[in-house]
Amino acid sequence: MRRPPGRSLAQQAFALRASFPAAHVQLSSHQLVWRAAITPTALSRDYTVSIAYRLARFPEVRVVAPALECRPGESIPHLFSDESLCLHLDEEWSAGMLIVHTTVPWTSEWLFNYEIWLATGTWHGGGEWPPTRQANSTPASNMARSERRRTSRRRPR
Amino acid sequence: MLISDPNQQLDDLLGTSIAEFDMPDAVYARAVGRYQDLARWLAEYWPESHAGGEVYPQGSIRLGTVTRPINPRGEYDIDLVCRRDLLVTSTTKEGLKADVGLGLLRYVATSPDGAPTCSQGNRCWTLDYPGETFHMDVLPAIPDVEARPNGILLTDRHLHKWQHSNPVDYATWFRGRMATEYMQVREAVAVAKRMDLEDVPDWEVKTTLQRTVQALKRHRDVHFADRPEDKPASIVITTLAAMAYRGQASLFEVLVDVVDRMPELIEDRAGVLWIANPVQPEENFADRWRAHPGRAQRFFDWMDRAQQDFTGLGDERGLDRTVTKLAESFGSGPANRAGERSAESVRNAREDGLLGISAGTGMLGAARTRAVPRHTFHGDAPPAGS
Repeated sequence: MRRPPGRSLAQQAFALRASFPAAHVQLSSHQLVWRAAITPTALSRDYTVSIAYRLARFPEVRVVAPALECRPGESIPHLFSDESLCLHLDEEWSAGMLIVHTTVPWTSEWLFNYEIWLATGTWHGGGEWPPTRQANSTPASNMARSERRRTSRRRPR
Repeated sequence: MLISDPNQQLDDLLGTSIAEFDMPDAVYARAVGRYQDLARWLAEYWPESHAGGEVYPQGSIRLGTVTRPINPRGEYDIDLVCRRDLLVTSTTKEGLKADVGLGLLRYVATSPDGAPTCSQGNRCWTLDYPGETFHMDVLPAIPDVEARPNGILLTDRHLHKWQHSNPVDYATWFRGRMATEYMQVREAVAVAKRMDLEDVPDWEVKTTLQRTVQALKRHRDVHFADRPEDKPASIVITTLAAMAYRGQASLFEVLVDVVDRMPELIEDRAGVLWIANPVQPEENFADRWRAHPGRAQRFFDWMDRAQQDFTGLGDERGLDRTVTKLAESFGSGPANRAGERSAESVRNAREDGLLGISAGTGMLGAARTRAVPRHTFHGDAPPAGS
């Protein structure tokens, strides 16, 4: 199957503005930064999130406020070591997709599952956690490997 | 799945938590089968003895308000009346109890399904079914000729005197309080399950009143876990809640409104706190508070606490807070289950291509124009401690 053509930063920004007119968009020649309030459900908190996107990279999503909380002795699932959200496998996103139709709803779903996890200790959103490829490695090699994979996996094919 | 309306979302979480206190359908069906079998057997046996009789359910099983107890055994109590058609002048309390016991022991000796064993309590006989999560308390009774056709006389705890009771008319009163909503819920179940209205089993129909009674009984069990002797009786809760219930609204609204009004409905009759049995007004369900005034105070304290807890469910933002508050009221098992079910419904909707978000807020809901694409949450960070 042929991949759809890549979308420009301006196209991404235009689509984001159309659905989230109140959000803040910062657009330069090489980067788009979108900052918006997302409320995953009526009973959830309002979260300020930022999505930074450079062409040939994956969108990078961070929760700006309120600060993410942990359960005692547990780390938050589906979070990269730099605290950006891990929303998809490499092959599930490509530059032909619109952020507003993919990364944004996935972020809302992530926040919803995070709130349920905070209460119950179980991530019910599906996915792979802990990442299976890290099994049997030492913490040191994990870190090195994380960095390597991080660089490679942030570049869509 | 609709999670853009806070009341609807709260109702879903509350409803799922409270449904956790229900007897599972299969257990319920077995329990009904067991007591019907007992009733049939006794109906054949009795004519050979000196009088007829009837076995029928009373209490929460008849009202549809069975609530899983939080004690370690966690067994459901099924209360049965065993009415023997004897005159009060022709039997004694001891004689009645022995007579009912004899019938039950003979039944057990026929090795019926479920292999029950029979034991004797102060006031009733208990049938235990090995491996089951229920047992049946069978209360011996005779007809109350002053309150025909449904009035009965029961033996009291110490077999000292006869007590008037009327569980059949009480249940009719309780169900009459919620008749309109009951019919509507039943029709909705029939439509959802594509069944004929009359084929919808009673236990699949739950009104907001029944859910409210279950919620209050569980909240009571949690609140009085350390001092069970102070627990208000279920009949007190059920009666006040049914009196306070004003018809339909969301479950959350009914719960809060009912808890708010319950304490006001307790009468003061010449200095005595009085909760009249609606079908026997001379009977005071709060009679025990006369000997234990501290219990009345603890009842009012509990009502205050329940009101705070239920009202507070809608106060704070954050599903984790809502689930934590549900856990304070009902225990963590039912609360977590509610969170889990909510998360499953979102995940299923996404996998079925039915999940969407609202423009402007990112709120999850039914897809109107565009569904959320499939994706897999992943990550690179090792979990803490590994």
